[in-house]
Amino acid sequence: MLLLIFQAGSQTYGLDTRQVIEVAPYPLCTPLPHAPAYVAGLATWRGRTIPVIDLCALIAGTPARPLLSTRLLVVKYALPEGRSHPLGLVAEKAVETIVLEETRLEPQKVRIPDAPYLDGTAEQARRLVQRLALDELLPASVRALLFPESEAV
Amino acid sequence: MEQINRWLARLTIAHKLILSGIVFALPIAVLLYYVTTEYNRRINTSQREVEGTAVLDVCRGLRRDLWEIESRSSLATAAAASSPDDLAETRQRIADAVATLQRGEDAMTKSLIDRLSSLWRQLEASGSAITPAERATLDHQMVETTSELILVVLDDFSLNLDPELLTTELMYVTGPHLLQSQAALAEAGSVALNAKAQGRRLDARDLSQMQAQCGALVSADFPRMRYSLETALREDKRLHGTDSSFQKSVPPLFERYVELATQLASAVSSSSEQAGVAPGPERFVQMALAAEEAGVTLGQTSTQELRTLLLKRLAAERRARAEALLMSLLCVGLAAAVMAVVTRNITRPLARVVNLTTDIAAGKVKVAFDRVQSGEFREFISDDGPSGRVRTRDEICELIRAVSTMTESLHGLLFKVMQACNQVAGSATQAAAAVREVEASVSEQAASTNEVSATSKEIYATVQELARTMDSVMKMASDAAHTASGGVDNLNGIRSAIDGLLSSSAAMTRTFESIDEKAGNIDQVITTITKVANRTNLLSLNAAIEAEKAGEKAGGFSVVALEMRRLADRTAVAALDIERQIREMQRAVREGVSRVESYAQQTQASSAAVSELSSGLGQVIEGTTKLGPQFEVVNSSMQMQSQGAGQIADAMVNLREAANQTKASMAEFRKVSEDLHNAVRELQAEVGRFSTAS
Repeated sequence: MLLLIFQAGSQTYGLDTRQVIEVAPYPLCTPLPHAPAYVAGLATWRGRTIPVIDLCALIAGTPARPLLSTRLLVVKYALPEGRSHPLGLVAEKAVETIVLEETRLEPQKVRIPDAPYLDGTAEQARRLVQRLALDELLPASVRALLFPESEAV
Repeated sequence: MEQINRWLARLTIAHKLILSGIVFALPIAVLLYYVTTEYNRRINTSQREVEGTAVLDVCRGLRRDLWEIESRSSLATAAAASSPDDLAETRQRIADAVATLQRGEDAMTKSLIDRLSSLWRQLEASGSAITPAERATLDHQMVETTSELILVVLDDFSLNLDPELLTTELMYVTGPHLLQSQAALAEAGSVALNAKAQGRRLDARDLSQMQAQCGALVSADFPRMRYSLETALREDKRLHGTDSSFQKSVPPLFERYVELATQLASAVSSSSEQAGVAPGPERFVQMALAAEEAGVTLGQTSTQELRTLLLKRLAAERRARAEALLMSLLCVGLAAAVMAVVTRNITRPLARVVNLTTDIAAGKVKVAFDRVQSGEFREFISDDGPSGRVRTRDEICELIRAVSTMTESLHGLLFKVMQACNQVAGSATQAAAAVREVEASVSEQAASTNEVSATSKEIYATVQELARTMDSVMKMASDAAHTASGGVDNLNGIRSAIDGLLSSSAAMTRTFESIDEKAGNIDQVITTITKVANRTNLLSLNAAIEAEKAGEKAGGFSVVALEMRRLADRTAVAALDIERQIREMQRAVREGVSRVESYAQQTQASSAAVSELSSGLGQVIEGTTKLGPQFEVVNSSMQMQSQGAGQIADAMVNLREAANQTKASMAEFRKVSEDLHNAVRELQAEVGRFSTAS
């Protein structure tokens, strides 16, 4: 299993590359008024308008800094009714991938109600990497807000 | 005198008024006494006159009876035929008369009456034992005694001192004149009677005797009697009018008496002229008896009238005495009543004033003031009181008005005095407090003066030291002037060195600017390298993701992607390192530039400061050289200040003495103000005795 590594705050997180469509430079985002703080806005990706979530804001509470290593991760977001939609995620230090055996990933022992998206932890090169479960990333209300009538990929 | 004054001082006004009334009543009483005594004397006189008249009447009857007995006895001797029965009535009358006379208590007439009585007893007791001659002698003695008694009575009973002309003259008529005329008639009668008794005719000697008696009677006695009677009648007419019993009864009797006596006298004289003719005595005896009878009647009647007049006068005098007494007592009583009213009129308001003033004296001024205010004395003060009486103007009302005004004034005055006392007490307290404060201040001032004195001494010492210091400073200043003129040359050298520094720092700045520019160029290159490395990393990531998606089919593609990414990473790291070094170098260069610039600025400032210093040093030198005379001025003024400080110290000593004196005076003043306070308190107590509160 290949994990795309990024940082939010001082911690390192990983995302299964099978859900990643593309890693792109940090785009210009049009903000959505009255949206939650972690919704960075709307961005254009390959001629399409996609919603963008700031993972640093979502996980660590601080918006992502505009660095060269700060990048847009375009993922295939699966909706409950079986459809899926491209979703932009902004993360710092998204410059590396690691190969991880499924077995080395320990299931999350402590389930935080406000962070249901963390589903496992693994040690890699003397650092802890927590895997992100994409399905649990957005609450239903935000999901309904961002994808009122989504189209298939 | 002293005792009388003291005794008078103890009396009240009412007592004094009563005393003056008594003093005035005393002469009245004395006067009344004398008046009454005079009246009594006159009444006594009248009474004695009345008594004397009665005695006289008795005596006259007695003498007539005696004379009758004498004549009868002589006749009886001659006829030798005594007829005692004829004389029994006469004898009885004589005995009654002697008894009546003996009942009288008059001392003067007592001896005569006793003698008369003894003679009469002797005569009666003798009876026929004695000879007719002896009997005649005894009879004659009795007649003489009776005549003497009559004269004594006239004197003794004040009949001769009668105060009234009327009664006096009447007294003469009834008294001595009639007595003499009767005696003369009796003598004449007795001559004729003797002749008859001897049974002979009257001879010439008898006739001449009778003529002498009758002549004296007519020529002397009757004119006197007539004169007296006329005077009495005139008086009686004047006093009692014209129709009194005296005027009616007495004059005809007198005229008849005179007529009978005159007939006898004329008969005697005619007989004596007819010499040789011896007339018989019978006719003369008859005439003499008739005349004597008429005289007796006249005497009885006139005595009766005299008695009546005397009684009337006595009654009048008694009435007058009673009237005088009554009038005097009435006047005294009236005076006493008036005096009582006046006394009451004086004492009653006076007592009220005394009551009021006693209240004031006892200090109850408020009570007295209320009494005055309540109009208690309005009837005395106001023009028309409640009873509407006329305003009185006497001194007591003036006194009441004055006392009322005085009470009101006193009340007001006391009220003001109390207020003033309170104010003065407050002021005295304040004054005492102020004095204490002043005293404290003076003490402080003395202490301050001591301090100032000490301080001024210190100043004196300090100024002396300062003067010494100034001398050394002056010396040092002249040294400094020398040193400074050497420093100016050194400063010029420093300024030229600083100018060289300025030019070299400008060159250094330029060099730093070129280094900064070159470093900027390097930075652009590094940025380009970094961008490329970034792109390469991105590409390798996507390649790795695609290779993962392709799975086993990708094979070596994923390895290539991994290598590619490592290369890009190293490039990026190297570029980042270079970039960091460049940035540090740029920062250092900019820092150096800014430091050089600040150094240049500082150098310029130093240059300016050196210039200023140079000019300042010049001024210092100039000033220091000028300083010498100024220091001398300062030195001399310091000396003066030192002297002044010494004088201040002396003055402070004087001031301290003055402060001590002031302190003593203040203590004295405080004592005086305390005395004043005490005096005011005593005054308050004294005034407080006149309470103005009820």
